[in-house]
Formats: sequence, structure tokens, C-alpha cells
Amino acid sequence: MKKIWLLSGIFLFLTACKSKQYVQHLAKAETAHIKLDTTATADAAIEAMISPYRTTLQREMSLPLGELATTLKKGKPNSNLGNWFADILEEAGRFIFQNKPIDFAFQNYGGLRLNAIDKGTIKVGDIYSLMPFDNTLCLMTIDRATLQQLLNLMAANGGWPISKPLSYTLQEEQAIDIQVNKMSIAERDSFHVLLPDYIANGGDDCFFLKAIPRHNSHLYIRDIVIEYLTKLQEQGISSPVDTTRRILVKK
Amino acid sequence: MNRRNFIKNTTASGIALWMPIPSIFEKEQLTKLTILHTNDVHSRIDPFPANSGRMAGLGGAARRYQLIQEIRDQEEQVILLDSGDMFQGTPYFNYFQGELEIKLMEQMKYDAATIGNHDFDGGADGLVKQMRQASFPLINCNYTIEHEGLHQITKPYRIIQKGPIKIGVLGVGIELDGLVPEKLIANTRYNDPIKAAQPVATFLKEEEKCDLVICLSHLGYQYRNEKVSDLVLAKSTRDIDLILGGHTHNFLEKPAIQSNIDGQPVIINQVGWGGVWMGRFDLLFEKNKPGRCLNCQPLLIG
Repeated sequence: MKKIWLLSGIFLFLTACKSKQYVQHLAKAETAHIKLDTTATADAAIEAMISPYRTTLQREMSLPLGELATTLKKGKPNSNLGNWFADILEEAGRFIFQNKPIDFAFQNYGGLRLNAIDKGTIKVGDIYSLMPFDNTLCLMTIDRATLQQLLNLMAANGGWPISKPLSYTLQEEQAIDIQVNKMSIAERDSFHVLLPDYIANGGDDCFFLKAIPRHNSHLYIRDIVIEYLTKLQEQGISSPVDTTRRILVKK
Repeated sequence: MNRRNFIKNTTASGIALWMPIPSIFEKEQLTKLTILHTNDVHSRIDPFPANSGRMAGLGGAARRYQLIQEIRDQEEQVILLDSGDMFQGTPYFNYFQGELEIKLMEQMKYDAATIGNHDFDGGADGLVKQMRQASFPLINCNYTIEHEGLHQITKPYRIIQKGPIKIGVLGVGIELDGLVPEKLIANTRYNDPIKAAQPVATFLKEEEKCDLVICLSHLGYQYRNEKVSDLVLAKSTRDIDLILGGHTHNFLEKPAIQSNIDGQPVIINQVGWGGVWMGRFDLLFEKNKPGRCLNCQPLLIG
């Protein structure tokens, strides 16, 4: 009897050693990116789960917001989409921040998430796709050095959408010959700028704006644009698309 | 005889026969582990609409679910992971605050997700509210979280046992300052991801003896400046085998391999955004003595 105990003891001991000794080697790795294109089938139960949400959204998103005579395309440094959007921010900002001086508006390039809005009827859904983020519109007064720093950052990023009164020349990732209302910025000390709260709060490397006081409209930029377009539509006016180059590029 | 009875009848007598008998002649045991992963899905529940350029018609949650199910049917050991920014990008999020995104991930049976900056867009309260529907945890080890609910649902790591393979999953997130409005993050603070990840990875590898350590990252793949990216994380640490990244929306043609601080290879991957790609790894493990592996090949990604 003792022998059996001893034997099984040794056996267990060996097994324990053995199982400890063994490891799982990562021997081989194969990889694939599976593209989900139109050849992939959609699961019916999941479709059914999404369906009530989709119906609600489709109703809201298909509401028309006027007509576009031309397709708007996003691009750097200038684009008709960028001009159109920044001009709307400026116009709407003047209405929201009544009696406050305003020089221009800008939008960070990365905040616009559609590459194009097709000509024809603009819909609420287009504006949601364009501006999905819950950014609010702010008004800030900055000094000349800060404006220069801000525009240099835009220039280094290849140019962000700016509204009509502002222009500059982009040379070697720097902004030179900056003008507001066709006047060199050297003539002035402070500037009143409309911008997304995301940027005012230091987003996209704009940390130097963080400590500067601002008026926050607490209105989502997306809702501001939708309301602006709704008003124009009610008046039977299509939104203006200005194609002037606000940023000149010098090699 | 139905299957249940068959199993019942066979286990009692069959167990002894099927017990693996350790022997020096034992053939090496091979196990396949399939890892599926997504990042930056950004509330893309429907395929991209026609005006989305290169992305037009791609993606969609119902297709992703179907694909995951097909793979689960074929493969024995499957894990499914997400590297953050599940939220924000379509009206589904603006209208329903992430309810459907999490509901679908729960259906797909995600095992873990890390926190992306946009996952805070409904506030810490909003994230917690939606995650209450989920049985998978959020994984992060470099945020100091003061929000009580978020603290409860966020774990520094998760260990997943798949057959004989023990997998340790940790997570790291990006600096929130300047990316997310202060009021949304409820005092969540960012700590250096390298310093935070190293002890967790070593714990998973050395203490927990995980066979594979995966880091879910929302740091971004690569930066021109000093910011910590997946490449920097890989070369500055040890004990991490695989980094599944996000944030910078890179459609990597194939995963990158970066040597870690000890010269060991780390695989880094990222699959764009919007759920148009799903990443898949099939890893083959060989159970054998340390330093002995018959099927081991230099880690080439093919």
C-alpha cells in the first residue's frame, strides 16, 4: 500500500513538473483585413433590431434645407465647401452674438466629416454627416500674436476653412500677408473671432487659446447651420457659395 | 439517442481514456486562436452612404454581425475586441446617445473594448448608462477615473481563457485634455501610457502566465512629434505581444512589426475606421518546452 502511494506521489510530482515546464509558443501568425463591402450579407435579425431606430432617423434626416446649385467639395487650402461653411458660421454668429464686434469665423478642417455635398437638395442628414460633433459656437477676442500663431498652425495643417473677411498667403507652412477686410493685421491689436468650442478649449494643438476668455453660445454648430439654412429656405433664398481663394499659396 | 444523452453516457467511462497521458513521446499540441478586432467604428451602424467617396457602400453592423457569426461557426477559439471610439459620427449617436451601438456590440459578443476620446462625447454618465447594457468591460490602465460608475465598469485588464490559451488584455487611452471638453470627462486624468502599461503587461505575462498579452490602444499609430503612439509604446515596453490600435484611422495595408525593448517582436495593427474593415488574426500556438517549438517560424505576417 505504501508503495502505491509513493509511486502515485512520484507520478503526480512528475506530472506537475511537466505541466509547469510546458509553455504555449506563438508559432505562427496569419492575418487578414476583411473588407465589408456589398458582397457581404447582412444578418436579418440585426437588421430588424436596427430598423425602428433607422426609421426615426430617416424621417428626421430627410427634411430638406434648400437647394445647392453646385456640388460642394472639401479640400485644402481652399474649397467651396469650406468657404460656404465658414461664411454660414460668420453670418449666423453675427445674428447670435448681436451687438458684439465680429471679424471672421473659422472651422477646423478635421471637424468637417464629409468630403462632398452633392448639388440638389441639401438635407438635414447632410449637415449631421458634415458636422457630427457636438461642438458649440464661441466668440473670442485675440491679440495679433495669437492670431499669427493660430494662422501658422492652420498653415502648417494645409489650411482650414475661413470666412470671407480673412485672407493670407501660405508659404513654407507659415501664414504671411494676413489681412482682415483687406487691411493688414499690422494695423490692429485685437481681433474678434468665431470658432468651435473644441478649438477654443485647446483642441487640434490650439492649447494657446485655452486660457483666453470667450462667449459660448452653447448652441451646437450643427443646429446653427440647420437653422440658418431653414430660414433661408423659408425666404426662398439659396445659400451663397463663394469661390474666391482666401488662402494664396506661394512656393 | 440525442446528443445530451450521448455525452452523459460517454463521459463516465470515457474520461479516463481521454485523459492526456504525459509522455516524452507526446506530439506537440497545436491550438488556433482567432482574434477579430475593430476600431473607431464611430456609430457607423449603416453602410456608408453613396456620397462617401472611397468608403461608399462599405461597412454596416448587420454585415459585421453576419461575418462574426460565420467565423464563430468555423473556428473554435474566437475573441472579439474593440479599440475605442465606438461612439460619435452619425445621427444614431446624436439621437440615441450610443444605445444602439452598445446593443449591437453586445449581440456580437465583444469580449472587451478600450475607451476612445469620443466615447466621452455623451459624458462619463452617458458612457456608463450605455455600458450598463453590456456584459463586456471597458479596459484601461492609464486613466485615473474618479467618476464612480465609470470606475466600476472600467478594468485595467481582463484575462480571457480560450481552450488551453490564456489571453491577457490591457488597454491604454489618449490624452483627453484638449480633445474632450472638461465637463464631459468628470475629472478623468491621463497618465503616461508606457509607465501605466508596463507593470500591467508584466503582471499578465509573469504572474498570470498569460500565453498572449494584447494591448488595446486608443493612442494612435504614429506621430511626427514626441507623443506616445503605438509604435513608441511597442518599442518602450516588454511583455506585450500584440497592440490593436485606433484613433488615427490608419488603414494599415498589413500589421506592422516593431521590436520591443528586449528586441522581441510586437505586432501592431489598426483597421481604419467606420467598421469598413474587420481585422483578423489566426494565431497558432504550440504547447512545448520553453525554447523548443517545432512549428515556430520567424514572425512574418502573411
